[in-house]
Amino acid sequence: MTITQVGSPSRGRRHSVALRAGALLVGMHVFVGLLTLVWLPYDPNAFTGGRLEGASLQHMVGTDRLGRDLFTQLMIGSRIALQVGTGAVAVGAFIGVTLGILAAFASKWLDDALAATLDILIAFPTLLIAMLVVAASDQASLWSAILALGIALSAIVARLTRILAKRVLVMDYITAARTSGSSWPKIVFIHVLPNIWPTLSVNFALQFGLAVIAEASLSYLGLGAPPPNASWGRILQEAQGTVYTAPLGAIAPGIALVSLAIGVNLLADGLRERVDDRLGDR
Amino acid sequence: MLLEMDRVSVRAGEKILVSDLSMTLDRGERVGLIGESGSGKSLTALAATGLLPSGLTASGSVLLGGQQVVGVPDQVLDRVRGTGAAIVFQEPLSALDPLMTVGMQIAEPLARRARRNGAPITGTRLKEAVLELIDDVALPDERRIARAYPHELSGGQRQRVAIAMALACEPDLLIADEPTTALDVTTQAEILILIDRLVQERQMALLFISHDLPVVANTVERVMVLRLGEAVETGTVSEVFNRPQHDYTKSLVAAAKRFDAAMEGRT
Repeated sequence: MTITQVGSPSRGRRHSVALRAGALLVGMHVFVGLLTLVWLPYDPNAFTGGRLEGASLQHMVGTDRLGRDLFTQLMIGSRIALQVGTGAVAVGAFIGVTLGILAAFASKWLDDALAATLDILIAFPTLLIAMLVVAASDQASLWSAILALGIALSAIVARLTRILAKRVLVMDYITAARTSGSSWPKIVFIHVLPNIWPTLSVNFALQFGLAVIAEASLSYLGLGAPPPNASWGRILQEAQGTVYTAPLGAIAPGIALVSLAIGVNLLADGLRERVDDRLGDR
Repeated sequence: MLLEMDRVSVRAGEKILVSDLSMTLDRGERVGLIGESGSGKSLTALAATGLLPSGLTASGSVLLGGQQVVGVPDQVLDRVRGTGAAIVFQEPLSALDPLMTVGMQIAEPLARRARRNGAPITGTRLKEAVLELIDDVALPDERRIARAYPHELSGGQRQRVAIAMALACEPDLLIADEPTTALDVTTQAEILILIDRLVQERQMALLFISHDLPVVANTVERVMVLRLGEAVETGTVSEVFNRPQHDYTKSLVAAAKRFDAAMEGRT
């Protein structure tokens, strides 16, 4: 424990850099996403300029092949990415944590069966599972994308929750709570969940980044939010045919996507170090 | 009779960990359970409260405050637990939730006990009761301790908090599972004096588990010696220590005496 203390000054500085840079990037997207609810430079579906215009004062990153303002679409893309990321993590967390806690309490036979099922699910690429879920639903929409990604992410959350909960459940303070007559549901809420939350929250942040990229991939393949929703993946896909004549149309959504993904990962990294420091005190 | 264990066995699959153990404990009585690690001392305590880890099964009969414990579902036991027995564990750090303040952790069983007594306490009165308990286990500066997290306390202080949590249940039986093993010698002595005082004041029965003969000898009236899950000797402290019958007990006593002699020779 003293060793971490010796190393902590430099580590402390590094984590604040990662945390700050991440918070800045994510904060920027959150700001833009919220802004789209009240203000947009142009109507995203109006033909406001010439086709495939380059960057100009009127159109900061030019226009698409129909002459719609790209910057407006990118702004809406921020909102959609955040919506999908938050929604998918929420769905994944709800399903995953519930399953994981149940598995931790289940009899050995049921627990093994659940663990094996989760392993098989994890073996499939997240995107593939998400595509299957979208394909199984009636119609591609923002909600089907959120649900699909949430279900795809839940296997990893369940696995993690199960093992973390098992580790907490063998602690003496759980037995002490049992001796004093605490019921299992109560123990889960006041002891188990708070103790596994720090580690889970870092995982959620990472999964948020995964979900954002996966949503772009789904939209790129036409399985995400359908037009006129301006998802970054769909903007990329539409710009694909004209990438040599108007490269900005593909570069701009790419940068938007990458900046959010990096931001979320830096944030997760910063959070993880903060959690490590805190748990190191135990 | 407060605790009646009749031919209790604990198994892990085919393997027998505790076999055919019988003992009784009356109100206010103090019994020591002695044996080396792996002799089944702690399992006996857990079996007495029906808290065996999953994978272990108990057979026989355990009556705790008149309630059958073996083979009874948790939902039934939850209602009688806490009032019957409370456990103080060996490792004071893992016995406390690292993310909860000490005050909260004591308040939890305290509030539950009051609720079950039919006189729920909340808010300021609960807080006062918590501070009173912290004071009762001879911790200084109750208010600061109540706000502290376990990692901010010393080992001895943590063990006092664990004892306070056990007391909050107002149990008839206090099970102390090697409560001093993880502590240094001075702190050990203080904790033993504390347990001794509290058991007397509150007229609890005490089941004291230890591998340390001198510690047990000063705290309890009767002892039971366990070896490989079997009770090899029972009797009053002076009987067992002065006239050990079983070879194993003899070797234990001899080892303790040699150790004492070595310690005295050195100082």
